[in-house]
Amino acid sequence: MTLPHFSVPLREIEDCFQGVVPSMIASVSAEGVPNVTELSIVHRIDDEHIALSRQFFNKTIANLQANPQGQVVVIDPQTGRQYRLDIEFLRTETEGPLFDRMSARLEAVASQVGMSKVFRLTAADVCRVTECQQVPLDKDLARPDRPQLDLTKADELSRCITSAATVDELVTNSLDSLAELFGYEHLFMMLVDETGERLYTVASLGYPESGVGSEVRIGDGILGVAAERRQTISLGNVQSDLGYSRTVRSRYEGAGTAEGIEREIDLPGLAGVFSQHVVPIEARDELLGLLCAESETAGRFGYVDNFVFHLAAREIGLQLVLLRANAARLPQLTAQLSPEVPAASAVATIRHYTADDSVFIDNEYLIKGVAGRVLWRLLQTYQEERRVDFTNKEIRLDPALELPDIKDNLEARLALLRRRLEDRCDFLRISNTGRGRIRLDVGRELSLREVRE
Amino acid sequence: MLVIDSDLKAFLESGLAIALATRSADLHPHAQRVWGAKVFPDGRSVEVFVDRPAATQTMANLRDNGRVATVFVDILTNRSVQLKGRCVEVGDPDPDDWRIIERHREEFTEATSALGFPARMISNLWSTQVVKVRFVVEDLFDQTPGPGAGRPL
Repeated sequence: MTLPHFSVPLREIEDCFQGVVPSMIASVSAEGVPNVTELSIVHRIDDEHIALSRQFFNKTIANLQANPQGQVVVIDPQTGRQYRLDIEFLRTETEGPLFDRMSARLEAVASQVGMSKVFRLTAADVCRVTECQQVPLDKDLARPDRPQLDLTKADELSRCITSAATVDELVTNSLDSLAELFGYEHLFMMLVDETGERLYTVASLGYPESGVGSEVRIGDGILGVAAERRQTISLGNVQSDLGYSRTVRSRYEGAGTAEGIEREIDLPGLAGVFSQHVVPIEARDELLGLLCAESETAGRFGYVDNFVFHLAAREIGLQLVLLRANAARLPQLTAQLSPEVPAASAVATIRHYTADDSVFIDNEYLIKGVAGRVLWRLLQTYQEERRVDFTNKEIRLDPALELPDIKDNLEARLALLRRRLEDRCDFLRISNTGRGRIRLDVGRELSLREVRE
Repeated sequence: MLVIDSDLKAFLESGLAIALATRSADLHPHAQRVWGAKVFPDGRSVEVFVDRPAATQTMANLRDNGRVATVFVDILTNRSVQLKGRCVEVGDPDPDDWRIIERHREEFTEATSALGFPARMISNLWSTQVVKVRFVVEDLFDQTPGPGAGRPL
């Protein structure tokens, strides 16, 4: 394939198209009046095409329709180098893959500030690039801060993910290897719950509070829209993007047209986040969850990082499907009795509320839903039989649990339960003891109370 | 006759992101970044400063037809205003102008750092030499994103 003869090929300045630093676009009316405006992101389509997102009717598109010549100046967020792109307006798209990709990004941010019904992408304006040049400067530029990624480590990443023998290992290995091999500081993984309507955090790395167990409704906010639209959402400057949507919101409110505006959603994850990269985890055309990376630095994730996250998400998706298929075939385990009596410290009171299966330990909330019901069953069995070893299969088939159709999700729920216990309780532990087997470790005498409402 | 009031003057002279567009005889647009703005006391013309190494085409366009558009964006509030007009003077900056430029660059760097941009990257945006461009304002537009964007002020 031959590249267009630009002074700077577009693929070499990919970081300019991540929406980190605003760009500017100049156009000229048929009468010869120039116009200039800011653009929060310029989308690169290929080596000679870009797309501009249009939310409101504006002078730029009116000019480009009358006189197709335009000029865009983009900025490399790492170096501060500026590039001038001479462009020629080609066409407007209001549907299709490009439009979907661009509108998902806008909708995700708008949804976070309660504007998804109001602030939408109107059109994607596609332009051909005829030249790209670096804007001349009269000084040497400082070197970029971001470390170069070593893509030879992708093989090791793939090995770490695909060697996981359990779902718990899979989520742990995936986040650990992304952090160790590529230096990502803040990562979390969410999985789709049994209802298919919500996502829950199954594991996280690099946060003061793990956030494990926190939930997001599919369709709500940046995470929920990424899941619903099955689109990668990469925000190189979250605060700037949210600020833009909030400005639009206040303009609508100020104009007395607040219909359809909903309440702003708290941003989950890192306080003071500047970069957020959200990649759907899919397999066999089914949405399984999300892989999310965050950073306190603007423009932290470039297109090479995007490649790494996509690779990881794909391997995680396939491995999840494989492990779930295997889980259905594992043998029963003979029950074992607890070898020792718990330490004689104060008795811990554990309450189970049947209304929503929430479990409280000494009046502190631990978990609810399916994971809560499973924990309660394990604790009951422990109290009655002093049993500590269980198989996933018996849990899945236990008539007392009346589990919904969660055969695909049980292991993930157990992984969530294990992490919640590590976060919130110092005397109960669940550990994996082999494929499809878990052990419950109890460090205190228990008093179980069921609350029916 | 269009006159910039004191509120708008204070806005235009603060640490905003500013861009200037000109056009050639055959209607090709040309854009570049601006450092520092000064509204003249009569409120009818504005001086801005563009990076000299990047200004070759801008200067040719100004000599040809003098048409100018400038956009002023507060990157923290997104308040945006576009000024359109005609260039009446091009020249070298004097020491007073340099004080305006330096103050603008400082305030802009401060605003960008609140949005997570390292000062070192931001300082790579400007050159050490600039050209002064003065233009008479003929039109003013509200460009703040939202339903009223593009409305004349």
